[in-house]
Amino acid sequence: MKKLGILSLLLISLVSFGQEGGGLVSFNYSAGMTVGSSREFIKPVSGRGFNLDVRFNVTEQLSIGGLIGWNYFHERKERDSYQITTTTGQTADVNAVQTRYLNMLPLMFQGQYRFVSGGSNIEPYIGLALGGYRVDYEKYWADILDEKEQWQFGLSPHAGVLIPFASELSGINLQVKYNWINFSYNEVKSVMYFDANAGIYFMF
Amino acid sequence: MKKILTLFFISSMFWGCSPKIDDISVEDLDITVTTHEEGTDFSSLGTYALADSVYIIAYDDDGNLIEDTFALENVDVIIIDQVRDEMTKLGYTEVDTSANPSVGIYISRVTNSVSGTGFVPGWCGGGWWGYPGYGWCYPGYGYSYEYKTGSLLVDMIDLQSRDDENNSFQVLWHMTSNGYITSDNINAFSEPRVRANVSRGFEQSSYLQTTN
Repeated sequence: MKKLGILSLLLISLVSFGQEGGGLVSFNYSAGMTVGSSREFIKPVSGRGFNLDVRFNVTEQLSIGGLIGWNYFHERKERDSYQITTTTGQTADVNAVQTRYLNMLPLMFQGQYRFVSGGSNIEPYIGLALGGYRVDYEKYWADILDEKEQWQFGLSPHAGVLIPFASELSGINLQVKYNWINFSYNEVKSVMYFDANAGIYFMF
Repeated sequence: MKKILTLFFISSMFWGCSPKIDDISVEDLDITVTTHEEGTDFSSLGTYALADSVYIIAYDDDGNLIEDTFALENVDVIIIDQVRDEMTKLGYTEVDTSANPSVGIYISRVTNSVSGTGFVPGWCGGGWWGYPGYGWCYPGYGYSYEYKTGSLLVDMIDLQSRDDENNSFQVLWHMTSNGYITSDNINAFSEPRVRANVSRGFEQSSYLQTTN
């Protein structure tokens, strides 16, 4: 909670810092796909996700800002037998239907570099986000829950493109992000997922 | 901007609507856990004795175990029959206790909920038929859990390990299975479901196969 408070304060500071140069805010639908050991845990692509992305222009090409979002992954595993090692080191075989969830809530600082070209008003960009992810790992063995929930550091390099409407005060944001979170539990050695985002942005 | 924020808050409401396990069927709640004494050479075992009734694990109002209670309800007959089938499939031969079998199969049912700290909480079984006063103990381990009413326990006990000093036997294999027997109405069960759950415990324990 303390970390969350510090992050919020820093985000507010960024708002103050960037106000002179204008910026944009975008609301995006987000679809996610786990990779690495996270994919061992949940495979299906998830269509459940949103994020709110705020950027303040520092220069014509550089912006800094913040992002808050949500990505949700879910998989139901049909009945199967799993070998587990108990807390006392003993081996057990468990036959059960498993229901697995990963709930991700990123709260990040971010910076972007826009490739501004005189010939086109479409602006590709690359960026990096750093911050905290609230990770909720849930594995139900039938109705018995094995859960770990915590804030962890993570980062998210990303690339996208801003496509303005005719007014140029708003437009479409298309973006792909890679997320890495320092969260480890059971088969998940670190949470990794890609999310593809599409949304509307408004300049201010 | 206001619209965007409204959209965001509406979207956050979906979090609360995320399906958990509400869509799971009753059968999907069945769970079977097995463990065994590591290092045991099951292939060298060959004969077994099977209890002709099921031990009832029940507590009185003061929380004390009610000892020496056995039952042979319809569901128990099916459980015993399925266990016998599975042991035959694994190559074991059923004999009487007087024929000095390698192992004994002991079946128990829980009629009260039992709190524990594992898929298999620490447990001591009641007297073994043919060996009055003898019991066996199994250590608790693993995840926090509660033995639900209706849980079924099957134990394979090494009858050659009889410890006369402590009146006990060693447990070689243990199965816990739950979710499908209700004590409110002991006859309200599905035979295929009971048989399937017993079978799963043996099927996931292929190391039990004997060559004798």
